[in-house]
Amino acid sequence: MPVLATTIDAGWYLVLAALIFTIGAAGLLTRRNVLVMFMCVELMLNAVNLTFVTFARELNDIRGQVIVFFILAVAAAGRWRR
Amino acid sequence: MEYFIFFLAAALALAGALGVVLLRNPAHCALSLVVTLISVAIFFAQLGAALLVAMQIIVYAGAIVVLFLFVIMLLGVDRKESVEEPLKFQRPVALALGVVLFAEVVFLIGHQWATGKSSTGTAHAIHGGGADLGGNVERVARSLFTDFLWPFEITAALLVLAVVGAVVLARRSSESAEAVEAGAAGSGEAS
Repeated sequence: MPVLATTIDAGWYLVLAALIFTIGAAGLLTRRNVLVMFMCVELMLNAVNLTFVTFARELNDIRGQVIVFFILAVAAAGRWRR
Repeated sequence: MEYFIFFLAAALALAGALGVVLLRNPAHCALSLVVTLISVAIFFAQLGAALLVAMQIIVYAGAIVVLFLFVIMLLGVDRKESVEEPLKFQRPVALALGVVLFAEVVFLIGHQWATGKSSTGTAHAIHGGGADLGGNVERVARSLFTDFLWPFEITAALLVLAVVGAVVLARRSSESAEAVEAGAAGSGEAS
């Protein structure tokens, strides 16, 4: 395992990711400004990324991190919609 | 120490997320988004995803948020949102739906059939697991350029399409703006 890997239980990360995802979803439902709604979508994407990386460590499966790579690329492509 | 860093970064991430949702000024929202993104990068570092730490900071904090601020500052969309809502019940309903969503996700976290987390822990070690395959970057690269080569190429096509589409749309809108200006000038001369 990598040197920096910690012993913190995965449940902490998962609950934190759920909280960030929920905040992003509530913000997406309440805010009126298009840019701020995009920012809330970014928040939700980041929560999902955190979940993927947590499970990549938990299941010792590198494919979780590869999928986060693709999510980053697609999120960067989404910026061009403006 | 690990827990200290974790809870510090968690508090920062939640504060940043709440700032994105609650602050009125979009520029302030973008800045609190940076706080959350860097906190998530700290979590990635704790989880051993070294490549993703660099990508998170460069791509998100360095490119996406700067683009957000660019648009906010340049295009003048920094108007404050109106306080009154067209739908009176929207905020409480959104809050209630958020609480329900959080309860659902936490419920799913605790169940093995949803997460796939086995109690033995090493059952899935066949894909890129093991320390003999090198560091994090090499493991990600090996998986990315073998198993995920086709999605990688599709991502490249997607990015090219996005750039071309953005250029086409920007050009068309500026051309139509010029046409409107020319028409206004022509009518002004005529009158």
